[in-house]
Amino acid sequence: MTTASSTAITGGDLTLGSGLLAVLRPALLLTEEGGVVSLASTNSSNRFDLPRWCQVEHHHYLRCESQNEVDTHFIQRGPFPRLRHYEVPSFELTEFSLEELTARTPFPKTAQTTSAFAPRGADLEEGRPNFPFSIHDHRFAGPPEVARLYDQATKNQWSSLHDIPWRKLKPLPRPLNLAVSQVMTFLAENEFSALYLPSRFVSTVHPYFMETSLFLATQLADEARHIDAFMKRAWACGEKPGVSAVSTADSLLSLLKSRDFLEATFLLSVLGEGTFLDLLAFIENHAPDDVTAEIVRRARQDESRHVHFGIAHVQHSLSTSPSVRTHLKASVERRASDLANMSGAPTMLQDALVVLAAGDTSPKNLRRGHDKYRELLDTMSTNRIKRLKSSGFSEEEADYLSELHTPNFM
Amino acid sequence: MAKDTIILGAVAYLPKVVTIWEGIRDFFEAQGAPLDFVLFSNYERQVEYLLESKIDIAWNAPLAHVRIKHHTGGKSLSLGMRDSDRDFHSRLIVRKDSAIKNPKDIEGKTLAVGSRDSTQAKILPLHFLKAEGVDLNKVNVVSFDVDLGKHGDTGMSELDVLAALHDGKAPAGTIGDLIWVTEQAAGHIDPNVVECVWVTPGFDHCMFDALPNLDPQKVERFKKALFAMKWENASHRRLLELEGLKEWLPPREEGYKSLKEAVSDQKIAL
Ligand SMILES: [Fe+2]
Ligand SMILES: [Fe+2]
Repeated sequence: MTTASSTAITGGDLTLGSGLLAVLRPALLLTEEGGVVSLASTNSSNRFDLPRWCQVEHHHYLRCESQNEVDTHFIQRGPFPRLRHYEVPSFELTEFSLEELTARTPFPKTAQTTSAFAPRGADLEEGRPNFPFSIHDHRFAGPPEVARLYDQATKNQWSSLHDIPWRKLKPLPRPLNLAVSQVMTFLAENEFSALYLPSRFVSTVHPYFMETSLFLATQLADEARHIDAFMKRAWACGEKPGVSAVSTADSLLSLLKSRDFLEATFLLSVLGEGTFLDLLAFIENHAPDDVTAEIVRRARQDESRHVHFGIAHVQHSLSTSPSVRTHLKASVERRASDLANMSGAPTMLQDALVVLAAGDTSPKNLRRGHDKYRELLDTMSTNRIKRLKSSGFSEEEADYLSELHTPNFM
Repeated sequence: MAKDTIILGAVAYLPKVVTIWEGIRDFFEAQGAPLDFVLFSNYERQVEYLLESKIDIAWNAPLAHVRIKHHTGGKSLSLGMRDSDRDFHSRLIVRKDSAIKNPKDIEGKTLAVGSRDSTQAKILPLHFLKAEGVDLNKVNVVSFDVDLGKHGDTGMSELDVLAALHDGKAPAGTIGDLIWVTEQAAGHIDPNVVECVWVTPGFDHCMFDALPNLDPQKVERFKKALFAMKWENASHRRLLELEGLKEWLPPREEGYKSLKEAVSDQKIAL
């Protein structure tokens, strides 16, 4: 790519103002400091213009040799600093996936604040300003597999307008109608926190870890779509949205207080969205109509990606920086003490889930529905412990942290 | 203010001048040569203040340098210059459709020139054209007198000359070669319309001037700090790039000979 010796280029009758620089500047850029570019030119005005231009640009104009109306100008590349914070050999892409690109240009250990928005691998001109990214250490910037998750996310984007069979929706008996609307209200409310919390951290991730910022962008788009679909479903059958509980608001406020990206990912994705996976599966199983089932099925698919990212991110940080273990545990303890007065999921949500699982309001089915709801809580707890263990916590820690998790699920 | 602080005068021809001198002041401070600067709106006042010893050193454009030399009987101290101040040239540029191929051809035509106090855009190009045998009495010289007092530092009058040629208001004009190459490189010059047909001999540009009686220790401290500024050092480089040089060089007087002759010939008040 670069040559230390000399490069010969031809400029025809071009002048500085008519396109010559488009061949001269790139040639100098690819030449190492001290290397020489020789330029053949038939335009004699360059005899005067080139030396002056070289001085302005801090190159060294060596001499001009003239023969048969052709001037050959010799220019020595000036001492231009080109920083290389990131060095990999060139390659050709074959798959065009982000996973492939990341495999060829792996995450750096740390990123320089001055590289700013310069893409990984670009040579940097010196004298750059510092950018205020707080995450420039790979241990806290996301796991390497985030590229694969981003590829999955872009492949699996869907649209609430085109992919949901809204026209098939028929009015349900009133209790089920109300239950669906309440559940959708709860889901949408919690989804807002999943939209707002990660968005705060996108701008803190150094762009050298672009896979993480790009993935977070897909996550935000996912959450926006979930809110959109859940709210449409809440209104679709002539009901208004249900009730928003103080306990949900308390729980989400304490989630928003997460102080850094890792803590936010842990509380939101591993614990909150993880628990939501079981909730969404429950709603899909007991959905009274195909539209509700399809919405939560698709949302669940997206959420499992967010949870996958969360577990991998926490696992990567814990394994490379064991000291964050205490920090993460403390964050769960902080939330638990914030929410010490909360005893269970919001009552209106509990009732709505029982009615959905019952399918109607006959005492026999309600009893069955209630059993299903209690089973859901057990399932949530079991799976939360599994996810905590996958994230790198011990059995004992996982039991303890799962127990402290908010009864609001998110 | 400590009495060993060097007080330097500079003309504020653009806002970046403040950035430049604040940077240089901090650099000098770090070099153990305390320095403060005073900004002037024009070179006339700066020259007056130096001659009255109200400032220690003036960063002077060539006409101001020649004035200081004149008023001190050639005894003023020259302390240093930029590499880019050496071998400045001016250009005779013409419209391609004007049939002007060499200096003589401008007789009987309109010649757009820069401000009357611009060395590179008016004083020296006219001087050199005359030396080339052009009868200036036969030339309709139109001067763009903008930013007077700043001696052409802003380059505005040269941009006016270029615009006049592009707009067909004048078939020929004179500008300095710095504007000529930077405007070409920026794509602001239409090569189908405008070309350069003649280059003047070289001359030198700015200089740090001081009176002969300036405290020799200040002179020493100033020179030592100035020449310690190195392109290889990234923090110095930022200042050097702003001020448009790669290296500070020792002074040389012969680069102002043509300007001295021009000033006397054109009866410019000193
Ligand atoms: Fe979501
Ligand atoms: Fe999510």
